[in-house]
Amino acid sequence: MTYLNTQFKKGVLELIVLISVTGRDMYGYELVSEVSKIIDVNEGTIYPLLKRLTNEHYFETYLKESTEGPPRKYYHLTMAGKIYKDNLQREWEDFYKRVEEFIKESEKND
Amino acid sequence: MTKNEFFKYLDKRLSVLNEKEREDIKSEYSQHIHMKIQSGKSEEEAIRDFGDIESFVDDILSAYNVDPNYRKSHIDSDIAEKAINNGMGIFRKAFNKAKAFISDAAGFILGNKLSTLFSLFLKGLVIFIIVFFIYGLGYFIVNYLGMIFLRDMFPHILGIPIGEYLWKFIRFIYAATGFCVALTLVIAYIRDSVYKINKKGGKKVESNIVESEKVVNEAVVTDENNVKAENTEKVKRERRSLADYDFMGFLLKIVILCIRIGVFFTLLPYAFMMFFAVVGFGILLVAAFAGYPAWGLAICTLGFDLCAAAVFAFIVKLVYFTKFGKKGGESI
Repeated sequence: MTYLNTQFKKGVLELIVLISVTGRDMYGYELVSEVSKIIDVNEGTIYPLLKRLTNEHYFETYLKESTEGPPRKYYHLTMAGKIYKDNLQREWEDFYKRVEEFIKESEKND
Repeated sequence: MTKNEFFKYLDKRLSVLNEKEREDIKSEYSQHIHMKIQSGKSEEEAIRDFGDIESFVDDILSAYNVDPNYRKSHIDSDIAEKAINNGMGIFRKAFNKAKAFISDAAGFILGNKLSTLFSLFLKGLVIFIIVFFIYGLGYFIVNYLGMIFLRDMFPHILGIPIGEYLWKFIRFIYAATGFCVALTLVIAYIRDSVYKINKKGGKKVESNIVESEKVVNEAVVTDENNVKAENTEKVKRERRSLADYDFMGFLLKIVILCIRIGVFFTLLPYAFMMFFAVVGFGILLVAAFAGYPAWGLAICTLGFDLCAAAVFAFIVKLVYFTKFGKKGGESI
């Protein structure tokens, strides 16, 4: 049972997806597995997110042959995607810092 | 939900997208399911892990800036197809569960080959009883109402006992329609089973028959020593899945299916009545123009037609198009 609501997790999900693909290009299932390790969301919700980020040109996709089945679609972070990711990350750090400070303050006052 | 059902749902909800996009989305999910199966999960489990399907399909549509609610309630306009598919699905599930239980018990008592036949027989018997009573109820209503309205109230028109003939004709049409519906259901069911048998590469395994059955067949082929162990293992697995099945939702589905079947057969005589009322209106109109004092009756008949059509439309929408069950679950 988790207390963080789905909408909140969905918001953070975008940042996590973008960061995962920064180091190297990944294909769908791989990306879903990586993200699932960090945050507990339903797997079905990640593909629409990938679709949206691709439609907004933050991702580029290409097909690569695989030995284990049909060719896989790989996701690659574009220049625009990197900029978007940096902005998101900055906002998140700012947000996180403020919330942490607020919690510390209110604990002091308890 | 099987992969095919999932893809059918995607096709319907995403019909507004162009085909290339739809196929791309389906292939991504297909690959994901494929990799999940490789890591040991079943197709159904992999799809269950996706979470709330309706909601993420909403997200897919949003990614293309399409309103997720566009045509959501219109994805299925074919009443009969929907009723049959749901009916088949529910019947199949219900009888698989009952059959599993009976197979275990009967297998223990009778020995394995006999229990297969016994449970098949029981399955057929229960279907027959249900259909017989629902259909019989409908027939009783048709007969009774037809008798009152057609044979007794309007016995003679222009000197011919039309009422009597109409009553007999309607009964015949009803019987014929019921027979055709039953035949369609049986054919759809057989075709489904055959498709599944063919999919299994010709192995004599009906996939309708539940896991404990499959093990019986395989056990005959494999090492005799492992038979008992495999048998109890698979039986345990089935019992666990039975325990976490949603019984309330399942019961609700059965009730709604019965209501829909009952209403379908009950509405048939009214449909015919409406049709003949339209014809009657035409006849009265002709008579009125020919000089008979039939204007009043003609207007009454027209009024009856309009009201009946409205009531009919309302009932049909209520029974067949309303979504029951929790939001985001499989729509019934």
